[in-house]
Amino acid sequence: MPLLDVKDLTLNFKVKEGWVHAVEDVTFSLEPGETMGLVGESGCGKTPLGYGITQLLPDNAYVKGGQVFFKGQEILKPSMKKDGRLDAYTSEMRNLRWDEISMIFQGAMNAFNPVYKVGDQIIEAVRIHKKVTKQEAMKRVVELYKLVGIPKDRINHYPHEYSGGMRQRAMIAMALVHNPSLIIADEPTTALDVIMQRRILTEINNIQKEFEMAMIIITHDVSVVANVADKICVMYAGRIMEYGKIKDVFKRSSNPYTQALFAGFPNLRGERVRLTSIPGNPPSLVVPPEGCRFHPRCKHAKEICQKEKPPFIELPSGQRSLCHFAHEVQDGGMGNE
Amino acid sequence: MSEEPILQIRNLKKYFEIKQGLLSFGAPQLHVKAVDDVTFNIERGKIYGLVGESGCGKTTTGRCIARLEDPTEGSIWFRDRDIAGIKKKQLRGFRKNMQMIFQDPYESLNPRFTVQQTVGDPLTVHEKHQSPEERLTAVVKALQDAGLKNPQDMLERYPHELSGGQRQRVAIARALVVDPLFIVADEPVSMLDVSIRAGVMNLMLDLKEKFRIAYLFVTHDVAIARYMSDNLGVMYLGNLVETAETDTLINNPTHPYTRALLAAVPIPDPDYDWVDVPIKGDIPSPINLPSGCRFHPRCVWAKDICKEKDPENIEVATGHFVKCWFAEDMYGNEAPPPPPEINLPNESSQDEEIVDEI
Repeated sequence: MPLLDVKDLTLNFKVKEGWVHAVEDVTFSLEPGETMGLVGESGCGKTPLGYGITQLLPDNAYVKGGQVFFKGQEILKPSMKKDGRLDAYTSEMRNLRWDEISMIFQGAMNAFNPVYKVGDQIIEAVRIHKKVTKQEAMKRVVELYKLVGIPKDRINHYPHEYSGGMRQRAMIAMALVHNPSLIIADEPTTALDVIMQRRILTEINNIQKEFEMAMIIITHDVSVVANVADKICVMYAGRIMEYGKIKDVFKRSSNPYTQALFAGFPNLRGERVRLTSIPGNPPSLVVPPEGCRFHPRCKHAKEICQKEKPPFIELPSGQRSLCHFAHEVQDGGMGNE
Repeated sequence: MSEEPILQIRNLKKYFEIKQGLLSFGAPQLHVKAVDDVTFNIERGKIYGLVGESGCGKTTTGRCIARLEDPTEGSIWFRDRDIAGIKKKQLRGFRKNMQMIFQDPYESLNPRFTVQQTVGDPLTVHEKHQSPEERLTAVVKALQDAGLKNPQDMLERYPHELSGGQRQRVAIARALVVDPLFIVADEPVSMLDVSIRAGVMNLMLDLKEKFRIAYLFVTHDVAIARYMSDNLGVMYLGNLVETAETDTLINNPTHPYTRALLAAVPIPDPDYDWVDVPIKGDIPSPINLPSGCRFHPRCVWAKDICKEKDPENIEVATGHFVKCWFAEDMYGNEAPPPPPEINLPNESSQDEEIVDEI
C-alpha cells in the first residue's frame, strides 16, 4: 500500500478575474521512504499541490475534485466543506499534521516567530501532539539539534540570531519532532549557498534513511532533484507533464516540456553545449490554453494539441507522459520542428 | 587567444566603515573588508565570471568597477586611464563605454517610464546632439539587438506590462543603446525562470560575439558562470582566491575553497554520485576576519603557516593564479593528500545542562 496516493486532484483559486486553475487532475503516489521531486517553474502549481496535501490552503482555494489517501485513508473528504473549501481545523487533519505529515517551509526566515526563542517554538510543536513535560520536550529538541548539526547552546536564541543555514536546519529539526512518515519540503535550500545546500540535503537524506521517511521536495532546480529523488513529477501550468522514475525521466524523457526544461539547464560537468530556451511565456492560469496547455510553446505541436487535452500515456519504460505524441517524443521520432 | 585587456583591476580594495554607537567613542574604527586586494584582467570581447557565496564581495567588486562605489584603494585601468579615483563629472565620459545590468528587472526599471523613455534615457546624457528621430532609430535598434520582436510595439509600454524576460531584455537594450565596450552584469538571470533564463544568457553571449562587448558577469551559480564565462574568478571573504581560464578552473580547481565550492554544485544527472565537499565550519564574520589565510579555519588542508601569514598569489600555470601557500602541491589532477577527519563543532558537552536551564 502506498503511503500517499493522490488521485485526480483538482484545485482552483477564486480571484477577481475568475478561477485560477492551479492544479488539475494530478495523480501520483509515494511509497514509504521514497523521495519525489516536484519540479516546475514559478506559477506551475507545485506549491499549491504541496500545500493541498497538508490542507494548508488559503480561504479562496476550492477542491474541485479528486481524492488524497494517506496510509489508505481518505484525508480530503473529512475536512471538505459543502462548497469545496477545506476546513483547516478539522481534528483528523490536525492529528496528522506534524505528527505524520510535516512541512519544511520555503524561506525559514519567515517561518519562525521572531519574538519567541527557536527552542520554545520547537518545544511547542512537541507538546501539542504529545503529553510530555517541558523537560522531556527539551530533551527531544537537544536530540534534534544534534541530528541537524546545530550547536545546542543555540536552542535559547531568537531566530534573528541564527544564520540563514542554521534557521533552515532548525526548520528541519522542527519538522522532525515526531518522526513523521512524510515530509513536504518546499524549496528547502533555494535561499542558501551551494555548500550549505549540500550539507542540508545530505542531512535530510541521512535522516530519511534512518527513519524511513518519505519526502516530496518542491523545487525549480532540476539538478537538486537529480541528486536526491527516486521519482520526479514535472509540472507545467497546473498539470503533471511527466511522472516516473528519476532515471527514466532524465535519460529517456517522453515529454516535450520536460525535454525543453532540461535543455535550458546548464551543467557544471560534461561538454559546454548551447542551451535552448522555450519561446514565449508561461500561460495565465485564469484562461489556460485549450487542449495541451504547453502547445503554444511546443516545437512539436500539431493540430490535435490545440484542441484535445492529451491523455496520460504510460510508456514501456514505466513513466507516464501527458502528450499526444509521447512515444514519438521519447524515440526522437518527431524531428526538430 | 589572449586579447588586449580592456580593464585591468589592480589591488582593488573596498572597506566599509561600521557605524558605532556613542558608547564606543574612542574605540578603534571597525571595517568590513568587502573587497580586499583583488587583481585581475578583463579582455576585450570576453566574459569574466566572478563567483562566490553571498557576502564574498563579488557584487561590491562589480559596483566598484562600474564606479557605483568609490574604491578605498587600488586602481582600475580602463584602457590607458585609471578610473579608480576620478571625479563624478569626469566619469560621465566613461559611463558611455561602461554599462550595468542589475539583478532584478522589476526594480531596475523606472515604473513610470515607457520602454522608449527607459532605453532612450542614456542617449539624452551621452548623445545630446542627436535629433529625436535619430534617437528613436537608436532605441529601436537596441531593442532589436536585445532580441525583442516587434520593437515598435514595445515603445509605449510600461514595465508592468512586460514579462520578466522582456524586462531584462529592455534592461539589456538600455545598456546597449550607447554602444558600450564593457558591461557589468550583476546576477542578471537569477530572478528569471528556467525557460526564460537560457534565452537571456544566449542573448548576452551573442552580443559579446557581435559587438565584441566584454562583461563582468557576477553570479552565485557556478554552473551558469561556467556556461557564460571565458575566464573565471572565485571570491571568498573579499579575496580573489583563484582565477583562470574557465575550463582550466572547472577541470583543475586548485584552491581548497574552489575545490569545495565545485564539489558542492549539484549536477543535473541522476547517474552522477555526490563527491565529498572538503570544507568544515561556517563562514566567519567579515568584521573579525581570521588571521593569515582567511580560509584556514575551514580548510581541511590547513597547516601552521596558514594561520600566520596571508598567502601570496601563486601562478601555477600561465594565467592560473591561486592564493594558497600550497598551491603547487594542490595543483594537478591527482587527489591531494587526504583531508584529516572533520570534527563537528561543540559535540562535547552535557545535555543535562541546558535541560536544567528551563
